[in-house]
Formats: sequence, structure tokens, C-alpha cells
Amino acid sequence: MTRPARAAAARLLVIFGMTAAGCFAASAEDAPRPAFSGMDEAVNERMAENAGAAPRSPYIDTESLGDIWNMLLLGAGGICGFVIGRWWHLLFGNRGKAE
Amino acid sequence: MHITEGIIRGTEAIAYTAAGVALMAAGAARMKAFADKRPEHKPLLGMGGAFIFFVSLIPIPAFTGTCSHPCGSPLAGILLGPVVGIGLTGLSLLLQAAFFAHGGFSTWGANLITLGIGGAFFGWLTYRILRAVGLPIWAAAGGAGLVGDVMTYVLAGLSLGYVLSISPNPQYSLSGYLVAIYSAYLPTQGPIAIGEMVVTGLALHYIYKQRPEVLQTLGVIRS
Repeated sequence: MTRPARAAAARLLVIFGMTAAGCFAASAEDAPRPAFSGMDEAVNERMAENAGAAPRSPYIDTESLGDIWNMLLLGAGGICGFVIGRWWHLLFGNRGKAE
Repeated sequence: MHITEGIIRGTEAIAYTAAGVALMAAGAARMKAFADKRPEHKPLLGMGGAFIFFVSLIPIPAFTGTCSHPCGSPLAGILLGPVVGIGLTGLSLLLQAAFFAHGGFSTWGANLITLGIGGAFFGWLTYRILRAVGLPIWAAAGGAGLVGDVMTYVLAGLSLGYVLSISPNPQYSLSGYLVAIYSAYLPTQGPIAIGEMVVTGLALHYIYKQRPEVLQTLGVIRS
């Protein structure tokens, strides 16, 4: 193995070691958490709770309002999709036609 | 990466919010100047804002069993400039905090620094540097997407690590927190950063092929 290859392998080992250590640290004092929760919850909130800086509920907690949150999310996604798609088409979609 | 409501408190929250308000004011002024100077490209502001809002809200699952999201702000930063990108990011984060329980009002400033400076500014800067050294547009934009995404998470880890290291019951020193946070982010965010690199590169390449004059008007490429 050449010297650059050895150096690259060593770097990879360090990265994997740090990753393993970090995952272990983040999952310390494990409580079961839902699968595929966001990193906001899985990492940030868990570490903050352990450090005594627990997050508080949002001031406007739409997540606790059942399907209202779904409505907001789907509505926002639809509006964003329309805005992006419509203006993308008008600005970038008509080569030689649009002003 | 959204730092949740309540994690940053007291003086730090005030300082982050003040910095966020200053950034937002600069962004709003630049947005107004952009709209006055190029009224025909005003819809780009809406497009950029919608793109950041949507992309930074959508959870993408990773093989680690957690979800994360891309940033969107690097592409907006390249097209509209870093200050406008930061302004649009601030608006997106405000809406997310108000209606989607993502982030928070007390952490809005920290999240704006993270996603705005990390994504829009470093994305824009990387694009400029890579273009200056002669890389093609797709490669420069791809590099900008990657660096912008990575820098967003670097700054998020720094903000969070700093706040936790001075919290009531810190588990590690600042450096210990940084190692723990970055190592936990890496397996999930690494593939997403690569995805953001591909999407940003392809988007700018497509725009360049279809409407290079728009990029010239925006100053993204030289005529």
C-alpha cells in the first residue's frame, strides 16, 4: 500500500471512529424513539435534555392539532410546488420565447 | 437543521435574535433593491423563498433510521446573492416556526445564521471561488451545494455545542460536544449533502442551457 493510500485509509478510520463515538454519545441514556424521527429530535433535543436545556413546546403547536398540521403541510407543499413550477417554467422553460 | 424552541435561552437567545434581525434587515433592503432594479425577475424572489421553505421542511429518511433535510439556500444564494438568500431564509424560518412547529422564535436567529450564512453565503462563496479557478458551471454549482449544506450543519453543530457547553448540566466540553454532534450528524447528513450537490449542479446547468441570459442579468455568469 502506498503512503497516500495509507494516509487516506487512516483518515477514513478516524472518521468512522468519530462517527461511531458520536452515535454512541447521541444514543446514550437511550429512550425508545420513533423510527425515522428527525435529527432535530434524535440528536439536538436529546442532547439538550441531557444537558438540562430541554426544549419547550412551540408557541403555536400545530403538530398537536391533529389533521390541521397535515392540512398546513400539504397546503404549503402545494403552494410551493405551484410557485416553483409555474415561475420556473416561465423564467427558464421557454428558450427563446420568454422575455 | 432546526434548533428547537427553548434550547437557546437568556442572553444567548437575545444575542442570536439581534444578529438575526440585523441579517434580516440587510436581506430585506437587498430584496427591495433587487425588485426595483430587476422587476422582470421579481418572481425569482418568490421562487427562491418557496424553494428554501419547502426543501428545508421536507424530511428525507436515511439508512441510519433518522430523517434530515437539505437546505435549498445554496441555490438561492448563487442565483440571487448571499444577502437576498439570507433574507429569504429568514422569512422561511419564521413561517416554519409559526405554523409548522419547526425551529422556534427564540432560536430563529441561530437557525438563520446556520441556514443563511452556512447555506446561502458559503454556497455563493464556493460557487464564486470554483468559477474563478475555471470550473464549469455544473461543477461549481455542485460544489457550492455540497459546501453550503455541509457548512449549514457545521454552524448548527457549533451553535448547539456552544449553547449546551454552557447549559446548567453540560455533559461534555465544547470540543466534546462538537465531536459528538458532528459524528451523529454525519451518517444522515452526508448522503443528503451529496444529493444537494447533485440537485444544485443540475439546476444551474439546466438554467444555463435554457436561459443563459437570465444568469448573465443576475450576474451569476459573465457575458
